[in-house]
Amino acid sequence: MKNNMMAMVLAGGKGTRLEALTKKVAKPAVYYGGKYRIIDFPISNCANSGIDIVGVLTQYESVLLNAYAAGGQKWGLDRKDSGVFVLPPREKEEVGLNIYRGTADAISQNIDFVDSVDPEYLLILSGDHIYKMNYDKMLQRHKENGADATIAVLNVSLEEASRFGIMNATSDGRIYEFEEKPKQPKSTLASMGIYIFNWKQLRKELINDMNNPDSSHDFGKDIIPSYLNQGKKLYTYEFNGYWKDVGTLDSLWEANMDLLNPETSLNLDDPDWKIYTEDLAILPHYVGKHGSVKNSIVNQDCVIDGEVEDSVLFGEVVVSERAKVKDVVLMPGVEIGEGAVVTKVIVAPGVKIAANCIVGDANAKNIELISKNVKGDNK
Amino acid sequence: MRNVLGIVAFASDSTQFGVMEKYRTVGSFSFLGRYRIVDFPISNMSNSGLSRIHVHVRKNPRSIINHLGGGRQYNINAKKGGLSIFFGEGKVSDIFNTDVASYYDNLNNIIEDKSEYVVISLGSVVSNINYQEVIDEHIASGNDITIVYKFSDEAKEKFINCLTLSLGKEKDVTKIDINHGIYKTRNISLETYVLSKKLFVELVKQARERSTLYWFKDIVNENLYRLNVKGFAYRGPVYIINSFKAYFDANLELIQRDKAKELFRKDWQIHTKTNDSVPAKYSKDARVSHSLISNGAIINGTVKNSVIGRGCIIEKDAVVENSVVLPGSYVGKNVHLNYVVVDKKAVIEKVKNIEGTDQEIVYIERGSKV
Repeated sequence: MKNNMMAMVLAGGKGTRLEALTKKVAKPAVYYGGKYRIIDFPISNCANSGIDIVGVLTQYESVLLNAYAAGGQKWGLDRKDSGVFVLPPREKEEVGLNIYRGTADAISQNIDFVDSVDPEYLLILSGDHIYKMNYDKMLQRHKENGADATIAVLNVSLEEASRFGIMNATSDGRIYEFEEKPKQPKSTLASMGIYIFNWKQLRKELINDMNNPDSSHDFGKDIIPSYLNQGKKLYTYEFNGYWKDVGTLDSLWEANMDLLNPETSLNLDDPDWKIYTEDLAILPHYVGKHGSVKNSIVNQDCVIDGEVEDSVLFGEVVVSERAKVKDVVLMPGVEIGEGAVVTKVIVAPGVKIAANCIVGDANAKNIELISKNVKGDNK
Repeated sequence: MRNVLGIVAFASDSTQFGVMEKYRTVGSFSFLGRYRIVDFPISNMSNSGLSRIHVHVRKNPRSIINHLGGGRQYNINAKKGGLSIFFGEGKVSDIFNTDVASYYDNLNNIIEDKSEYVVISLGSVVSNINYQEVIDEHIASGNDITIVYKFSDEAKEKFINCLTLSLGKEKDVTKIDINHGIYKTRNISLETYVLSKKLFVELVKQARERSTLYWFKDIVNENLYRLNVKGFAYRGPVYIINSFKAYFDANLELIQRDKAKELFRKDWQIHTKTNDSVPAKYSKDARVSHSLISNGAIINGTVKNSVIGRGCIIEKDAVVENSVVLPGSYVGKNVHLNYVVVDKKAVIEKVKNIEGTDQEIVYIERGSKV
């Protein structure tokens, strides 16, 4: 399956709302769902949609992300004509910049890279959403419509609509107006930040945009309005599956908890649409003689001798005897000491919580991130 | 280690697995929920720095070829080395299908390899041996052949039908025998040999001249009087999977965390082919104790002292005790299993009670509906 479309994942967000989770790694490399990183979703979707080349645009802490994504073997994107390329800003003479000034600028600064692949279509994705989507089907629709650009949209509630970029479209899906976070939304079709463009046309537009001193170099704020002003054909592509923005600790926690809910439509276990990730050479997990696990997700090489309920455990987590964890996300290598009680928090990778400590609160309104070791005598 | 060729051998005719081996060779048996037995010798070779590995398969190679692929999961550099698979072809009867026959049929591949030494290791031995240490000692001592052994003081119960080494004062091997479980202490041979490639080729040719029924151990045994053959004492964990019982016992023993940690070391990883399974999922009704649970498993029932393989489903009110459930199997509602090995993709639904004992393990055939 070849579709002559390459993808660029916008992964430049600093993710400051994820606090210490993004201190050392870029936001797309943040953990989700017991074994994945957020970036696994767009890249696996690409691999499953027959897209061979994926560029990942990042500006913060790209070293780990680079090592993680390089080569693309994890997602099967490592054939001779495929690959995953991490593209941080480069200091180029003609631009004199070392940051991406906006989402569109990130693509503009990599025109040479896209040209080297020479695709007919360019797919723009956001690096911080959890969802499964067949981009090839979206491309088919794009072609059927003879569109200049196609924007994936999600039907949200009227209350939510004012938090999104809203597409106002005719009944056949042609977009006539775009409103960024409207106070009084005319429609509930929210942009998911997923665009298909015809590359040659977008290329011209980006060059104009680079030379426009008034532009903020953003797809939503500048490129899409400019396309509409020129009377270009923009169409919506409606998506109906599970979709979650995991930009905050609350939403990251919720997205993890969604996996425990049988009502959630996100199935990570579909053999025809696997989400690929790094494989670790570690054992299956062990539940000990005193262990108990209920309504939870547990990854490899955990050792559970305490009580685990309604939780998501990443690899190599230890829950010691008499410890109780509930409503928590324990990231890789977390250790919960004997008799400790941990409730409704996210615990960052490698953090140790000492014996008998009490951490978190079942009634907490916001999710707390435990990013430092919690020492004893904390009752 | 560019001048050492790794050879993964198949086990001799004393192995006893019954129907389980009908579907694949021992090396390809699923082990501890996510591994195959052959992952151990190949990972050990790769971790020891061997970059060219020949895997010899006696029969039913389909499953092992599928599992090994090009060997990238074992960190074998395909540009500088590689993994090759050979299997016995066109033998009139199984008894002629010996390890020596397989080496002899593929002798050109062995001769053409640039290596000066060969390490031969059994595809059915689970261990974390560092072959580099054996090779170093072999070269330093000037032995003709070095054979790895493990001293056991449980030889009455364990390692039954494995080969044993009788050792002289200087660890010189005086006799290769079989452990019939009569004596408490024995030196158990891991059937791991280090020798020069030149001698290896000579011995293969000599064995062929002597008898088409000869195994490599037979020709070594016959040459003990004239060659300098010494034992190398391996002190790490070892499980020789030469019978159905040994297979079952090894799985259950390795549920114990301290035993597992001895075998699986952070600085000596055992690699396998990934299946990209999701983490295991437990429902509200799950009750699990002292068990290993693999990714992709869905646990709604009770599991005790068992190994649950990748992608298995244990339904509500099912009870799985003292059992090994291989990947992709289904244990239905109210089914009770005790001392059972459930082979891959079996569905147990209708028969509600399957009970073996620790001496008589019940085997449920691959893909069967019970």
